[in-house]
Amino acid sequence: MSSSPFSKFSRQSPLGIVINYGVLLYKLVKSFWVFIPIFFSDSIENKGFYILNISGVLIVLLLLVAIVQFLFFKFKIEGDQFILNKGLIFKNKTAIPIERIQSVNFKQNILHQLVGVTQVEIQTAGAKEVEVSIKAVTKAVAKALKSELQKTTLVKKSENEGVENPVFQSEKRRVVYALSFLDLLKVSFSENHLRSFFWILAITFSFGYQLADIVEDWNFADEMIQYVVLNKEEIVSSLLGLSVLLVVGVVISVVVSFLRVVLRHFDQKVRYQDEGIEVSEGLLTKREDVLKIKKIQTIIQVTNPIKRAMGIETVKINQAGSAKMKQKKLVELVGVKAQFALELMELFYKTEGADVKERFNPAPYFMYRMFVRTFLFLIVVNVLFFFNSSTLLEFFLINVLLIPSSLYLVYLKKNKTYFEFKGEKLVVGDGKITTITTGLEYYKTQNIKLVQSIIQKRRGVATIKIQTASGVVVLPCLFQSDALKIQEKILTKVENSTRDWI
Amino acid sequence: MVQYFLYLNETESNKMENFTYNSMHPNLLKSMIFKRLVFIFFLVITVFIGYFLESQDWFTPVVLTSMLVFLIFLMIGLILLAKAYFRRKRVRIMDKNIAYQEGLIFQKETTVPFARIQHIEIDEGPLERYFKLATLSIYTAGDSGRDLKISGLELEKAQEIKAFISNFMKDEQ
Repeated sequence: MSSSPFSKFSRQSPLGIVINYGVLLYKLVKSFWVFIPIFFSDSIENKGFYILNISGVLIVLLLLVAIVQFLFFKFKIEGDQFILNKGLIFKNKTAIPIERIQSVNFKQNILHQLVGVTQVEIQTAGAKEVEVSIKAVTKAVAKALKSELQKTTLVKKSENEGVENPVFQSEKRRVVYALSFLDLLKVSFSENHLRSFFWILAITFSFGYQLADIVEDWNFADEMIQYVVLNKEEIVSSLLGLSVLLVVGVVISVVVSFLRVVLRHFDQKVRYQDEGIEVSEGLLTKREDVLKIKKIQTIIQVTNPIKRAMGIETVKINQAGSAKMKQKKLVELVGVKAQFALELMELFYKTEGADVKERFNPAPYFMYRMFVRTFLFLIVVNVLFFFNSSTLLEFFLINVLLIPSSLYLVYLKKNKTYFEFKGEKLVVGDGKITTITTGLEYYKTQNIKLVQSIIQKRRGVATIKIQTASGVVVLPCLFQSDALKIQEKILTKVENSTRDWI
Repeated sequence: MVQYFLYLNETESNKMENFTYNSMHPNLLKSMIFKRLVFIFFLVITVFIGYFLESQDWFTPVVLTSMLVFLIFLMIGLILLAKAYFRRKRVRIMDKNIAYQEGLIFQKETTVPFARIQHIEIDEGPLERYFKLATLSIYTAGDSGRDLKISGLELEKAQEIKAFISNFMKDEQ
């Protein structure tokens, strides 16, 4: 134990000063960005002199603070505790029992990657969730620290119980799944472009008018761009113009989806780890997160016609976490092929019994409610077009496009919504063009809510909302008797379950 | 004392037909009405202040009276609503879970199994203390914050419930 490199206090990597500096600079700019326009005003005499002096002072000051932060940040492993002391004026001493450490994750943003260091995030579980982060150590140190912490936990565990999962111990850190760049391309092509498309549409429409003004003032603009922007109305009403716009829109949406997928999931790799999996991914921000099986609350499988044609799906895993850790609770595995998906499900759901014991469909009120909402939406759209004094042709076009497609979407959603008792879990189906399947093991339920609006009550319909440690699962518009049946089953399972929900 | 809340035997604990609900203490209605009266009272004062400060061109005594009449109707409406909301608030405790109903337009019933309760808090605001009531808050690990907030329980009953649930959790360990 005494030969461990962490038995004495150690500091972060000296390159951490650069990281500290970056963080301080960022915070400074974020707090005082209002003052930046002053630099551009002409009302101050000797402007250059002031700017130089103030910036100079700030640069030196921040550097000093960064160095002090580095000097007074120390950590070590003592016995079965991880100890962290930081700060000079405001001292902070944290001691975490290693037992309570749930996962050790790595993260690198661009600055980290340029400088060559890694950020280590230590997450604990328990009544008070704590997260300790060491902003900058070398990759080697990070790995050493992580394995040291895991070793201690394992030793403690085998003292308390028997060896639990022999499989994991031998297959440590073997890559079981990797995303090639080609896979990444496939995934980005199969994403929901409609969302990006509508987003772009909304932006261009709202900025369209400002754009027209700008283009009129600046003479640099290409003649074609000028023509397009200034003659917006005519172009939109001509069918050819509209279809060209559509194609351009689609291309841009695909590019946006592609960028999003590549930046987030670049080089995604999955490794089996002790009692869980380890997911590493990212381009500008690289992360390596540990996901413990016990912490999984819900698993959502997402697919759509394009994904199905490619034989891939997306698996989203929600783990327990407090509300403020929203982003870190979701692990998204993309481009997952059917066979690996099966492997994952068998890994996560230890008691995977594939028999469907009972299936429920929503009441007809569900579809009725969707029709009403669609109708209201169409009215709003028509009113907007009316106030925009669109031509009769535009009205006609919009309705001919929207009405059948919205009705079709309602039909799709009605068919895809179902609720099943399958083995030891509840399966909820959802989605319109995408198909979303959520799996939740009964015993993970924290509380269960039955909600009825007055209209629903009169029609004998109720909605169930199941609260987990990572969010809510909604079962809309069930028949009241079905809702009570489902509630009864889940409560009985939870009350009689001996498994720890985490 | 604890028997007051339990009406079921274990085997049929989750079947709807056997549920018996308990309403909140009538003092809760009194405190709800009181809060609304205070609200109307402040509105009335604001109206009068406006009357004395504003120009008499538009704020004539007629306008003043019509505003006050409106406020009276508003008060009656709020009191009737309070009564309706109060009647909808019910608690049900069984051997292994606790449920709370509330809501008028959107009627909700939240059930929390004891096995998932992390901790229980009992709060008394000054108004509640005057009416000898307390608020029972139940927390689980769900990320929605407080799972149940039951106001309008007599302090003794709230403490009984807390003790009952704590005993259950102790036995389970």
